[in-house]
Amino acid sequence: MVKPLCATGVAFAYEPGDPILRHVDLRLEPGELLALIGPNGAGKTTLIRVLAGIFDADAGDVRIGDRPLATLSTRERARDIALVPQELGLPGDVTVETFVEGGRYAHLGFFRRATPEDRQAVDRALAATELTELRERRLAEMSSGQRQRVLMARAIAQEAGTLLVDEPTASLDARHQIQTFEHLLDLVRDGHAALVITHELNLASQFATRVALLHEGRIAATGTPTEIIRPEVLEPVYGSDLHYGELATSPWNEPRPFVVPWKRG
Amino acid sequence: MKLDRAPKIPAAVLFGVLPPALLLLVLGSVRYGSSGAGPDSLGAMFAGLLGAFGLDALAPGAPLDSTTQAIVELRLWRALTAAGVGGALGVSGALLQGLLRNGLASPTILGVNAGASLGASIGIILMGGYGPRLLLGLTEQNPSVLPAVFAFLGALGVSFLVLTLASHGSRVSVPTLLLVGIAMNTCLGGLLSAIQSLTLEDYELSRAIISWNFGNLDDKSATHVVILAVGLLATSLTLPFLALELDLFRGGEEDAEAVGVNAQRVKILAVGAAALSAAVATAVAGQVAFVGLIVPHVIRLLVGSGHRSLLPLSILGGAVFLLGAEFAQLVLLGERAMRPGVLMSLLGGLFFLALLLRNRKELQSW
Repeated sequence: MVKPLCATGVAFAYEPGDPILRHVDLRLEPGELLALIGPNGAGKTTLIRVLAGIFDADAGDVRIGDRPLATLSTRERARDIALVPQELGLPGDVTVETFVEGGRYAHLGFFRRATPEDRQAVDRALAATELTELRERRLAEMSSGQRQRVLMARAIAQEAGTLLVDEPTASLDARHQIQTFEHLLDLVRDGHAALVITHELNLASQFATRVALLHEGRIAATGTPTEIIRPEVLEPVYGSDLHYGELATSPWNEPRPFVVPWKRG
Repeated sequence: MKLDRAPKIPAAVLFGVLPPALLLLVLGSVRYGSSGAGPDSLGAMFAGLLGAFGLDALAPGAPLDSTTQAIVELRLWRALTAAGVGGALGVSGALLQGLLRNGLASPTILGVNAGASLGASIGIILMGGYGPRLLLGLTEQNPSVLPAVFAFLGALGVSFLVLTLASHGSRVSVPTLLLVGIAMNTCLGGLLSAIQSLTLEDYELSRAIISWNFGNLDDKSATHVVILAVGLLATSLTLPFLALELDLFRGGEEDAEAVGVNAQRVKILAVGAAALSAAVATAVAGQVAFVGLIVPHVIRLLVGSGHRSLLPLSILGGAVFLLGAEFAQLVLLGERAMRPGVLMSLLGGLFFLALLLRNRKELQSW
């Protein structure tokens, strides 16, 4: 069962006196694809790491279901929450399959032996990301787009209800950008919860169920894409060089706004 | 640690080749080793080996004369000590290279060697008449005990001091660990030089201290082998709980935590196991450099960086490497053979340089 992830009054600083997150309230429900947007340096990656339990919040609390993250062991936490980082310094000599198997760590027993169930989960994750054919391939031999899929595959193999994804489309071409969000959409329609950091406002607009705008350490606005992708909300954060419009169709079969950076003459 | 090339050979090949190679080297060392004429036939050699374990009743022929029997035993314990020291240093290096994600890490970085040297020097000074008479009386029976015990305590003590200094709260920072290790090595190096300069007037004493730093595999007994075996066993027991974890560390510590690895526990367990095995090896055989650096490095080049193979193969590889080098120089140089620490420094340095030059292109992308 997928549990809601809930942050209340979260504050975090790397250096005392220089807070990155000041007061963040955020709730992620099962079935939601929440796009976290915000300018560079807003603290998006820091927030996702606090939500994943990698960093402990200085103030406020983060709960998965009714349990505070701080009371969970790393293994328990990893069974509920999967973090998909931006491209890592991936070990090049490792095969796709071995890397994806790493996602099963939190499910392994005392002697760390993989069961048939673990192998099936890996197979399903490889199939879902269209990597079955490439399972013997070493990571050094793959393109950055393929590696992005490998990271996603490992998170799927982890079988956590909640996925926290950090800029999954940063190094992808347009086709693979769409494909990545389609994967996330499938997972969400299966009942997962996903929070995705992205600078691609238009991908956020068409795929997300909800958009949250992080600015100066707080959630400045949250709502449906139609409520967020409009000048009154975005201009104070991104400036006025944006051109807005609307397209009639979207993956959710409803009109969604779009926005293009466009310098006015 | 960037390593993008495919493994050259399957790990199973090394698992198949190294144990028989090790056995052959042990038998070869007993048959053709040091300390005068040994057993004159294979039959005599096996009789001697059975005798070494108190099983002479099982030997088919007549028992060996006591001199030959003693030579067999001396050579056997020497060979097993060399194998055990090599294995312990090999696995220690493999654990630290995996944890620090740096193929140039070795037990030295934890201050194990410097700590052991300091401990041994203090032990030697205490024995040399500067210590209380009680300790002197205690060590008359077995003069090598005190430096060995002090070396062990020094190695373990310094590595845990490095670990503690590199920790902030309960978190151990890997980059800080490397830097604190370097600083600690510098401090202890200064202390050692101070001790050596202060004891320079006492010829016997300074000779003993310098000699300890060359390593020593002579005059080993079953006790040394048992100490090594216990240390290696304790280290081996941690390996099933570190192999997969160190694999997951390859993507970085935070990434390992994200898939559920308890990074703090892994760091403490890995450093503890690495320090223990290196401390035991150094206490038994003195300073033997480079084994902990080269062996895991070469094994990784051959079979890849998966720790389920890399860690046990580093034990086997270290054992074969050190015993093989010892055996080779006994056969080639006879009585003029060099001390193991000296041999490894000469051989290891050159070997490592050649390895780095061969991979120069790859290294430029670090």
